[in-house]
Amino acid sequence: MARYFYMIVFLNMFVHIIFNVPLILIQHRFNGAVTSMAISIVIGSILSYIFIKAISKYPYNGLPEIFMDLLPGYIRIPFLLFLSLMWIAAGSLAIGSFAYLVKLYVNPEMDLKIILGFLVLVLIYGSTRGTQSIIYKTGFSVLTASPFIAFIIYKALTSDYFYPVHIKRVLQYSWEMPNYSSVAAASYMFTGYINLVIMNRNIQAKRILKHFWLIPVLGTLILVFTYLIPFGFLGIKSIGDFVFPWMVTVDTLRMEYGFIERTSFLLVMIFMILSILFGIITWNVGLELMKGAFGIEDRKTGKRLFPLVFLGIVGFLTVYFQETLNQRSYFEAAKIWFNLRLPVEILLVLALSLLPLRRKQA
Amino acid sequence: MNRKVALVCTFAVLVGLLTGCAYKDIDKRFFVTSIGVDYSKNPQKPYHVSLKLAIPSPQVQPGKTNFQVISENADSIAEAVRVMKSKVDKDFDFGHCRVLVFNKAILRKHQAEVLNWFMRRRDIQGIAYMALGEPTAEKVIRVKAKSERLPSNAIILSFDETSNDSPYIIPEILNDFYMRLREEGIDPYLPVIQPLKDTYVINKVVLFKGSRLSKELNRDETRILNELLNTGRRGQINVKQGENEFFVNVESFNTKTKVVIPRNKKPYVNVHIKIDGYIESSDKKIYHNYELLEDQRLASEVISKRVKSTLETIQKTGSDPLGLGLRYQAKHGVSEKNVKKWNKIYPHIHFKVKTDLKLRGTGIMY
Repeated sequence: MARYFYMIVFLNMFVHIIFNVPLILIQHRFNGAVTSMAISIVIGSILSYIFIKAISKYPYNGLPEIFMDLLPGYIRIPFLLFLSLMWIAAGSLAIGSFAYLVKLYVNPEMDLKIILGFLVLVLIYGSTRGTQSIIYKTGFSVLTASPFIAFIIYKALTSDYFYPVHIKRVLQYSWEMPNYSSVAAASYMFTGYINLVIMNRNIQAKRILKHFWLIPVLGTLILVFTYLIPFGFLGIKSIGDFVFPWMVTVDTLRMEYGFIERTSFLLVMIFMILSILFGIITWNVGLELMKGAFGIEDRKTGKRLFPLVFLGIVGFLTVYFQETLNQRSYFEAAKIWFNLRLPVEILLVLALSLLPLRRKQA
Repeated sequence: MNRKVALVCTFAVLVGLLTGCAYKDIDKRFFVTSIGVDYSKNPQKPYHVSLKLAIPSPQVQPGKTNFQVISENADSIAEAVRVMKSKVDKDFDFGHCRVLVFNKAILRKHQAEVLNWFMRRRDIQGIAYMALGEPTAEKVIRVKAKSERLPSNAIILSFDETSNDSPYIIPEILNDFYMRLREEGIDPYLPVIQPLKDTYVINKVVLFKGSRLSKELNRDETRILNELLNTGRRGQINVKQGENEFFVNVESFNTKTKVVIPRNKKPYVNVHIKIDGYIESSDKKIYHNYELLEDQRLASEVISKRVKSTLETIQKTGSDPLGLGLRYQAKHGVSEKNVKKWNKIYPHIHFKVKTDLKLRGTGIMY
């Protein structure tokens, strides 16, 4: 099962393009994006190691069960609720930005509400399934998408319009002070492990630790690729003119022998596979945390209505949120979420690793 | 059982949503295959925009291309397109627009504004080919190439490396042009298309200095620029020295360019060219290996000399299509000061060209 865990981690690393993390880093390209990335690689790897180590002591238990012994109810329930909302927000933000991309590139004449509405329906259906089957879905979605990702990266690196000299130029700005926003955004790359809070019920964390080196290596590679490749195509000044730097980058590539020449449609397809999968995983984890907070065990007690009602409300709010905000403020909201995520993640990891110690002493 | 029925019903309803062309059927769309922008000589409405609209036909046959060209003067491209919608019965679809042609006057007068519309539209592809139309863009668009199977296909195919690798054609795409325009240290270029009766000639390139149009390169200089840009388009190289004249068919061509700024010495640019090739035609017979080696040495010298003179011609125009300025910045830092410094160095920089030619053989004759 450990391989599915790495697939989820890998998925998170790619979903950050849809989240426009490269945009946040690119906005800070002259003031400390590179150092922030280096710091976030260290932070991300350390956090994930501590977390996996801590949770491996509770085989086949999710976070709600673990907290049951560790925390009193008046802290546990609000904390789980809050975490659940953070997860749900991640899925909503990702699917919202993806709906915007679909509207822009695939279906310009369709109403954004309808596009997002259908995506939300898919997410509701998917995320109410059992965690085990979602883990299997992760397997084949990631396996389907990764050859295309490899193809795009290969295509980009061998393109005539790829200028490595721009990358050398932007690396001239490496030694700048890091800033919080970039660190928060870049460390998002490594967040995939955090889904273990629920997935730990199905995945054995001990097995994961054997191949732990994969996380920093993969993370560094993907972060470097996703940050630097757009510069090679768009230059260090003009890259600031684009809202989706990766879409424009991929639009510079041409598939001479493909059915379609425009590579950007291929990227939209990859995004479709990955963002729906990401939405399903995050909503499922959020839902399970929510159920854990209220102590609902649906299958046994017959309370199947709760997930549907809850996700229905969430889905409605997602569409409503997307509808009221314009694209700029939407990305601002995503940025706020990123900035909030890092401390919450650190808090969660510390809680999970330090609380058992307190119990032992007592 | 009940569940299965419910599932079948759900899918039956969902199938109805798969309408394909986003609520607008294909027969209600006009596919724009190329756009031409000219200067209209009217300062109030400077943009003369022409659209080449494909007329679909049931059969795709060589020479059976069918299209319609409509034009409009307006004060912006967006306005022109909007006005033109009232001239036709269907909606424009720019998804298949692969060729953008401009004329010299509009690029001189409204360079900055002209690109904005194309870059901002999501349905104009970043891989659309850009070109300069001579004498006007509209005339280029109106040409009906005899061999064409689909409207505008002839231009697309001639720019496409997989169908035409003539070394005189240097394709330029929209995204790359935009990057070259905005970045300091590299300058854009555009291939020049001249219409003939039933076809086109594309064998020149026009250089830009910053965002201003600069000199046009002639055919041979264009070829050498192509080789220096490492585009992978190969051709023949002719060498003539006194009585001895021969052609080299190039198999592979690789250029390495390096900007060297030594201390206390004059800065120079090192161009190292590596060519692999065969002799394609030769007036004299080459019996001995030393004769082949002699030819090889001769050809290297000729190539070096030609490349050097082309580089100097480009240098005189002040344009920098090879991005030597970028290389300078990559080493010495990106700042206003360095850009200014480079602008002072570039007009006087020295080119050192070295050619490694390897003649693999003489074909099937001595």
